[in-house]
Amino acid sequence: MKILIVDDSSTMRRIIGNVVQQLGFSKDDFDEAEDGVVAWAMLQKGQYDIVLTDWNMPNMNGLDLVKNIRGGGAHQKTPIIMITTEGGKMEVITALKAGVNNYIVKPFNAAILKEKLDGVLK
Amino acid sequence: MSMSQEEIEALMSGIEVEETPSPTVNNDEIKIVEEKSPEDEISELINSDITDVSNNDELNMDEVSEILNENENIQEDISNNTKLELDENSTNETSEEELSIDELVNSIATDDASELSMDIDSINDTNMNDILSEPTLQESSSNNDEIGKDWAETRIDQGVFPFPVDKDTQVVNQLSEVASDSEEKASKILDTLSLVLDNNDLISKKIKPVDEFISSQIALLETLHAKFPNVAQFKENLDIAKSLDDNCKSVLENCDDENMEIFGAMELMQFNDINRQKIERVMSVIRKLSTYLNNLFEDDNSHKEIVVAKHISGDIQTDLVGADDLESLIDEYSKG
Repeated sequence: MKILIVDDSSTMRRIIGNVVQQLGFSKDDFDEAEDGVVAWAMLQKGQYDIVLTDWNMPNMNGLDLVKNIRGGGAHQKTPIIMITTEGGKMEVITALKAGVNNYIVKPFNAAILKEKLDGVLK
Repeated sequence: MSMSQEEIEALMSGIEVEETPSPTVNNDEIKIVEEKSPEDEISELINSDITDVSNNDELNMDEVSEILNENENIQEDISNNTKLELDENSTNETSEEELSIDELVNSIATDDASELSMDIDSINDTNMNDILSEPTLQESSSNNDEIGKDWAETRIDQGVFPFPVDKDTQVVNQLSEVASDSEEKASKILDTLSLVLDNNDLISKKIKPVDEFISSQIALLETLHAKFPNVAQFKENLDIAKSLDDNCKSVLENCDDENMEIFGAMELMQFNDINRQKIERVMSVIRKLSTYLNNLFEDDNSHKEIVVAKHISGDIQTDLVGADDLESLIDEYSKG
């Protein structure tokens, strides 16, 4: 299982990585990207089983990244979980319409991420 | 506390000093006065006293002459009275009366002289501050810029004025720096937490084989103790092994608990990201507000700079001309 963590905050990337490790994954099981552009490039080169992405990021935001992924390519069907501070109902609907499989509002804990991961991986 | 119009104008015009320097803030004046040596101050005081006294003497000559005239009148009255008494009394008593008259005259003269000196002293005291302040005011008028800067700095120190606009004091820059600094520090905290996690993992890895070995020893000792219940050594070693096994398990449990606490702390570190995004939202609002205000106050730049009136009727200024002043000025200049 290979996970791609996309967040412009290095702190947040590390936190998500730690939570993922808490769930039993190792450090080799995930890669990190600081924005949508880098993530999109990594998705073009590698194969990932799940994408955990933030919404608000420079260069390319999470929503555009989701649209790009769902637009076609090898990861068109890859599960995507958006982890963001955007907690508005309209934002959630917008993200779901764009093709996000699940949505987590920060702050979150390991139990929530596990539940969402289990949900999308089924 | 609202700023006065003068303060606002001074702030906006890069701290220009008003035409009439404020007597309240004059640090330079104070410094100038303080920097003088005591000898200079004394000599100045002496000179000013002398000149002042001479001036006051000239000014109060009429008063002095009046007082002297009064003294003369009093002396005449006293002498007339004594003459009448002298006529009535014997000639032996005349010398005593003359002595008392002299005393009276002297006492009156000394009283008036002391009053006169007190008057002069009071004049000296009232003029002393003026004498001391006049030259510093003249100096201050030549150093208006420096005084203005000092005044503005004082107001900034007092928190009345905001800091002057530069890279370090621009609000958005400051917020950006706070966000970046916070991110950096949060990363360091995560490094520390990760180090503790790694150390705990290392401890767990090292303890586990020990625990496994002790468990196997316990099993062995239990077998031996079961077969040889009379051998006390097996029983003692079994007890020790069980105690060590409990200690190992306790260490492992502590490591696990500590790891859970660290994971909890790491989860709390998400608030750094949340707060950063809040700061970014504030920065965005400030930027938009700045753009809006600039658009609101700016024009299309097609107008030339208009010369504006300096003194308009209704302004609170001392040099505004009244109707009478205006007429008198016109008359004065029309004559010339």
